[in-house]
Amino acid sequence: MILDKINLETRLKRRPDLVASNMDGETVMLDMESGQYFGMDAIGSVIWDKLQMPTSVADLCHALQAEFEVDAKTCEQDVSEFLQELVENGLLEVVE
Amino acid sequence: MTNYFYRAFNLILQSDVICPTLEVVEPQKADVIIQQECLSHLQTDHQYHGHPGRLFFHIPGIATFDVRDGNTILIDLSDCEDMALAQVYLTGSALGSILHQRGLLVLHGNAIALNDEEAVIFVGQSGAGKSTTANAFMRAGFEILSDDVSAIEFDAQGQAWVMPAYPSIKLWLDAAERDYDINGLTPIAHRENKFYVKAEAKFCHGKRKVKAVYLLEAGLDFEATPLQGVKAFDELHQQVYRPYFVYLLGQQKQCFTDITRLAKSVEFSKLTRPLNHSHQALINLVTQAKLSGATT
Repeated sequence: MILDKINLETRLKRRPDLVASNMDGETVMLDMESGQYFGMDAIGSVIWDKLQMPTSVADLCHALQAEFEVDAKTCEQDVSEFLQELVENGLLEVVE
Repeated sequence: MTNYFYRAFNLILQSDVICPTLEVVEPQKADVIIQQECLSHLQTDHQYHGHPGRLFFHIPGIATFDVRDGNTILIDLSDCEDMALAQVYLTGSALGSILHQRGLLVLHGNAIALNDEEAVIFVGQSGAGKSTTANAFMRAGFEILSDDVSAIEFDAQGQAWVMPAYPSIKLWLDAAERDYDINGLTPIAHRENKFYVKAEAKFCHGKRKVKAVYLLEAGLDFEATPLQGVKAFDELHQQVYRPYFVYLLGQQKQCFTDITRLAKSVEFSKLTRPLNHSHQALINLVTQAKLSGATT
């Protein structure tokens, strides 16, 4: 399967068969299907927390900019890269 | 056939195979039945097999085991050339399978009672000094709950409890020689340089609250480093006893949940120390850190 690059309009949601747990501000998760474990640092965990409901990349970036001191361009670039990684690892899926 | 009754990990076992390392109890209603049976149909290869509720495996020249539903161990000893080793597998892998099936969190490590309420657990790679540490605590007057395998259960409030396993520890020859008369010790089957040390007098018979988990590692300096977050999870999940049992039983989700619960609810630190380090420093650190009233 070839994954399209995500853009600001892309809407993303968490894959359903994941179990996640917050540990001291970081997140660990288990992919029930593959049996693989994943770990996220504190920043990644903030982003993950905001993905409880299906959300567009643009909305996510707005929310982060309201909370953290970061310019729009840097935020969009870093967040998109991170989300792309999550999609490629099967932790998020694109909402059609 | 004679039946023997034992207690291990807070479970009553009724067995038609004698297990010299276990604690003997009066005949009573058993939680787990251990029974000899012909299992030739399971002697296909040397792999571990299983699915939810069941694990079976053949150790060539030793025994075949079929462990079911957390309450039955069927054992075939027809090709057994070393009964002592069969007993090691029975009280190790087979009983470990039962504990996993019953939904306990099973860690590869030992547990020491600090007092009437609490215990600490030592985990770490083989050779990190887990058993010599248990022995040092025992000789310093502390009671031990388990050597090698620690079974943990959570109560309704999320408190972690560690179960008393059985009253013996295994020591390498060099460690055993320092403190005991080797002639009085039983070698562990094929491993002539590892010995059982009876711990009946210093065995803790009741479960204890888990106060802390320590990851033992050999290093240059004596150092305690608290582990947190992803790192804590990563280190702790590597300490699960026979992780492929969890996978075969399809219990990854529960195991994941229990590891995160344990890491969040108890102190978890890495203890680095030189291997020739005096155990007294370690005992002091563990017992005096945030504790008072250790048994003497």
